[in-house]
Amino acid sequence: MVELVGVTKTYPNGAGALRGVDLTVQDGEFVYLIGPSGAGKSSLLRLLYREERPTRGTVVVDGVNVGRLRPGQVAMYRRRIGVIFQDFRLLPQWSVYKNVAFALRVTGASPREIRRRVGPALDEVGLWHKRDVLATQLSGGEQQRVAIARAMVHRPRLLLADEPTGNLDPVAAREVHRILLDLNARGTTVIMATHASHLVDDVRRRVVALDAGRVVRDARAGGYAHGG
Amino acid sequence: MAARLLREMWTILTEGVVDFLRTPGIAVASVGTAAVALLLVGAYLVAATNIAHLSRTVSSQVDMRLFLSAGMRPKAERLLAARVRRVAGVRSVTFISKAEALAQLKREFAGNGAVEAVLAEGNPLLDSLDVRTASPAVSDRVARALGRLPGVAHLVYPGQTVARLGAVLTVVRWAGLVLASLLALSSFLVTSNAIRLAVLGRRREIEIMLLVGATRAMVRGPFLVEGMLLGALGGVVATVVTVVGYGAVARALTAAAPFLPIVPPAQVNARLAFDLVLGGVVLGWVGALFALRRLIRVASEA
Repeated sequence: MVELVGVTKTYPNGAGALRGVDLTVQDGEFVYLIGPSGAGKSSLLRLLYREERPTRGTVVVDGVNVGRLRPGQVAMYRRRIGVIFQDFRLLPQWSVYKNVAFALRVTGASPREIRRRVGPALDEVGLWHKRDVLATQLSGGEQQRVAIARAMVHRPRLLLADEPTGNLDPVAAREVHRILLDLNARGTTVIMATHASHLVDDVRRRVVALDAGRVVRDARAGGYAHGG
Repeated sequence: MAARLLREMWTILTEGVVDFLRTPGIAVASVGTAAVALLLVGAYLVAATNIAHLSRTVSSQVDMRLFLSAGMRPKAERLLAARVRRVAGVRSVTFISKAEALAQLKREFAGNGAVEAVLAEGNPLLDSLDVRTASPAVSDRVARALGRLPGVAHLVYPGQTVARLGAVLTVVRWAGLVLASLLALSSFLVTSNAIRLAVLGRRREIEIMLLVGATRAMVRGPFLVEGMLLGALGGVVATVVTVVGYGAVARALTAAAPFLPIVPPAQVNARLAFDLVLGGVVLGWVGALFALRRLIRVASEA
């Protein structure tokens, strides 16, 4: 599903975010990206959703060489992946329903298609009953669940989560984590950058540790492997 | 696929209109500035059309008037008329005495107190010959030949007027161009800033749109629509003011000076509306495009 080969990312100011990263994620895997701040977790995710291009190396997602996508192709590529963030990135003045529907509306989906897809997406995160509530009136955990529904409404095969529990209390964090595990159990590949070691320790999943832009540990479920 | 594209276009259009209505204060300022700029363009178009029309009307006239030196004897006048008739290109010559000319002037300015008062003091006019040439093309040559004849005090012919009108047209054209350009620039900047503010106000929305796979056209489209709408409305306002204003001026001029060849308003209104609204749309579109430069760059890098 995801293959990074010799990926280096250096920003224009000279700061190096990733250095020669090799990483393969199989279809249907759940991978935690861990590491201290500045280790390169978010940079790696940004390469995957094509916010950035690698300075060197190749990034292939679902058969697409992401680094070589032309600007006009980025939109179509992004409809194939879902992304969630620590700060939810919802439109606060809009209802829950409208926030999720927005992702479909801006891609030209028909009203019928929007109705058909938004319901199940909100059901999946247990928020259909709050569809008319404004995003600002929700708790942090609920807002993140709306963001997950929005990310999943295109039914992507890959979900990228950048510190999705970073702003949440432990109960909400566990709920969001559970939803991500459920999505993974139903076939979605999930790559989650996190600081929350207690969540990682709870489940036996693959853990990739980054430090100073390098993969310093790649611990697969049931065993450890070392990467460069 | 076609239905999806149509829906995308519909979304772009409706979002553009919603954007426009979201900030009415800024919209009014942008429309107002665009209207002022386009109003000047409208005034320029009306003036230039009329001067060109006047120029065409005058140059199509084949008459020229030869004023004879004061105190010429009738015999000398007859001789001069005979010489004029022999000049190549002259078709006919009519003698008009200063008394006839005065009578005609009094008829034309009947009711104009100031002119009547001057004419009542005596006849300031000269005897003249009305010369008709074979065609407007020979007027210049004939005029040069007649101007050299002894006894000719002054010569008035269309070529002079056309040349003067040409000079006026050039001045109007340049002055109009400079003023309209300056105002168009200010209108462009105001529209551009209105769009920039709209972009900044919707930064979060744009970020999310790009993230969930909106095309660049979908992101930029509403702003371009908004810009074109601002410009088009400016064009409509300018059209209304120009049409109403020109109608009033044309009526007043026709009443005061019926001999002036004024272009009938009905003949220019449609063209004015088309030019001004289209000009507004282009102005708004370019302004929006300018404001979106950065956004386009960001979007294309994303």
